[in-house]
Amino acid sequence: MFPHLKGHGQRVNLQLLQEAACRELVQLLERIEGSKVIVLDEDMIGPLDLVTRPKLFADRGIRLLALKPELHLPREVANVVYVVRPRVALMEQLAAHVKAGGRSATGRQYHILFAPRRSCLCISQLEVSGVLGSFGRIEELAWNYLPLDADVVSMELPNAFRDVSVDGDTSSLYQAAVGLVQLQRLYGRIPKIYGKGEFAHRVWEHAKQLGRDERTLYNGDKGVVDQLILLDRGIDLLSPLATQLTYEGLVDEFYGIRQNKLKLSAENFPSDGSIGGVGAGGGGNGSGSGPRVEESQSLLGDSEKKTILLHSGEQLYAELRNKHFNEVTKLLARKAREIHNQMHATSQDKSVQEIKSFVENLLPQLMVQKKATSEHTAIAGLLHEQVNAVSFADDLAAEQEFMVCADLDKPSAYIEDLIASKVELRRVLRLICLQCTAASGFKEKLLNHYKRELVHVYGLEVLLTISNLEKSGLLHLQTESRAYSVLRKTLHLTVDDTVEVEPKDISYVHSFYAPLTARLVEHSLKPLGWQSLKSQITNLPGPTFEDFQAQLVGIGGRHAGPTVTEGSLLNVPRVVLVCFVGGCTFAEIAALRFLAAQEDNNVEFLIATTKVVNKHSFLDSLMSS
Amino acid sequence: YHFENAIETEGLESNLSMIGNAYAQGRCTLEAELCADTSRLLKLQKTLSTKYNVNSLNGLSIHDTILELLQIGELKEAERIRNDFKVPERRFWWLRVITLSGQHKWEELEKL
Repeated sequence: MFPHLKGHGQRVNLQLLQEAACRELVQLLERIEGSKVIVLDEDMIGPLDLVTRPKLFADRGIRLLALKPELHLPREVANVVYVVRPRVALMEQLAAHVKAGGRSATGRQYHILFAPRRSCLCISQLEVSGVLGSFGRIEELAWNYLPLDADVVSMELPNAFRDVSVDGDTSSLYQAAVGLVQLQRLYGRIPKIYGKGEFAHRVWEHAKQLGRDERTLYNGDKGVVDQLILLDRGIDLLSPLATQLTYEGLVDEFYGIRQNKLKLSAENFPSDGSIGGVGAGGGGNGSGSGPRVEESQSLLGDSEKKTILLHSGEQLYAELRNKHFNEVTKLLARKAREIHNQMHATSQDKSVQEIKSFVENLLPQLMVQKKATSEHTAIAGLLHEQVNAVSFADDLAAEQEFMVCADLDKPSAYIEDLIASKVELRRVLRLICLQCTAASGFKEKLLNHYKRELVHVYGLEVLLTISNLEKSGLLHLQTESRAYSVLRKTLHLTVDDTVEVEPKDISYVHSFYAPLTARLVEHSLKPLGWQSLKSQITNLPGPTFEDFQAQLVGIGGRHAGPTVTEGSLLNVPRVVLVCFVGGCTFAEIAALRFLAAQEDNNVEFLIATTKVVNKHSFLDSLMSS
Repeated sequence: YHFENAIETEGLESNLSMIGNAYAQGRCTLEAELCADTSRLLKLQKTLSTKYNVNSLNGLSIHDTILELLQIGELKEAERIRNDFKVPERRFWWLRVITLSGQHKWEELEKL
């Protein structure tokens, strides 16, 4: 059903995860008798889309509706099933629905599926509104990690980092832990665990606790995953703020990729008819056999926007996504030429048979390739405009100055100018935070200077936003150690000679800066990597921890004896699950994929995150009050 | 010092001194000072609004107030605010240049 999840020779088959999630939903739905309509929380549309197909619901005659304050439920249905995130604010809407619809249709039942966890607050809220009695089933839909791609799972919790660091709501940590146990149930015990950062440590503590109740988990052999690396977003706040320069990263920053889907207004693309060109008929009869994944309609689609699927199932995109943007244009041009050549090769000296086989076999494929190429050329063209804008280049230049630790203790003239011309607040704050993180904290005078400037220009309300940033550790006063500038040298976070095309080092994802998280993972791959790394990262916040889950005996993980790595002796790639607590960027994913592609590493990554973030969405989640 | 922020969302003028106090208690001298400045500014904006018969000043930030004053040609008042609230030279001149060029007063721009 979801071929893109399978990947090429990946050892961890995420289709299992998707099927499990889907099965769970179906089981819950089947327990409810009679005709059904599902009402979806807006935050759940995407996740649902990741694991199910519209067909699943169509087959069962279930209609899907989006949750809105005023909702017209079809009269004849006997059951209304709400699939929601456990948020108290939503409960009021539910209560209103029940009150409005309760009398009109007799015998109608309401049900709630909380994903991923039922919350007492929500239920008591329903009780207060006096509608709890109207709900038949209140169940949990234990969807923690949702498969995003062949090597990425995401919790789709955009506010996880904020919840934990600003609001002190640690439920997402618990969920991450539940998810880890779930993953182990599917894919087997993970023998080795490394981690860094306070919240990452909490996640692991939870997971250990949960795992203890489940002895079966540890009785089996070691699973497919050899190693788990838990990394806290808090140890590397620079990377989520930095401008990503991979194709996928840029697309995400400018247009936002939601659950593998990109929505752009259709006018940016040549209409499909003209792409069909010569072989409109050929495209038609080949649509079944084409290698491309069938176009999935979104569950609740809208027609004005063009939706483009972006995942590794798309041949071309899989090739482009992790490349530096400067390389993408060249690649696209080459692709276009290849297709052109192949198309025209047929017109000369070919026998009828050859042409026939060409039309039947090759042409449909070519049409698909051509369509994909033209789509991505259009996107790349749009990006090019944005990237060439003066403001983008200037911001990038300022950002890169900070990354190489130039003039970190002085107020930056560029930032001051931006404040003076009152540009978008987010843009200014991003640069200030970058400077602060790179400097490992501001001197008090400098921080106050920025604060005063901001309040003068943007008004007093800015203080609220600033206090959020302070709580989350993006802005802080200087501490003794200068973690970033030290690590920049010891871990080579910035590289002098940059190669953007056919790179040799992960630093290409930000042109010359290698995301700290990815660098840590890279170092931990080396023999005794984690041991030597430990001393180097002591000045990052939070504890460094490691743990072993040995077979049978080590249920508590106390047996920290040296385990022989059998896997490394054979020529099977190790599988490392890298779990980002608090979100990661596409650039970091690209960097890890790059590492996996290096032959001498002999490793395969599975990436788990709370949400794929970018510099905009990351700050936005922190700024909103 | 977390909860004084909650009060601040009210955003009311009369609350400002309270918020300022809360900040001061939480040893955020800068924030307290800024609160005081804002309440001073609000008063000033009221008098200025009546004086020059514009009603758009209320609730603006310092920066925007100066900009507004320069737009209506009240250089003196603008300079007073600059001195009162310690606005850096750099930004003040930036604003002057912006307004003058916006109004196509190239000769005056030359004089600066």
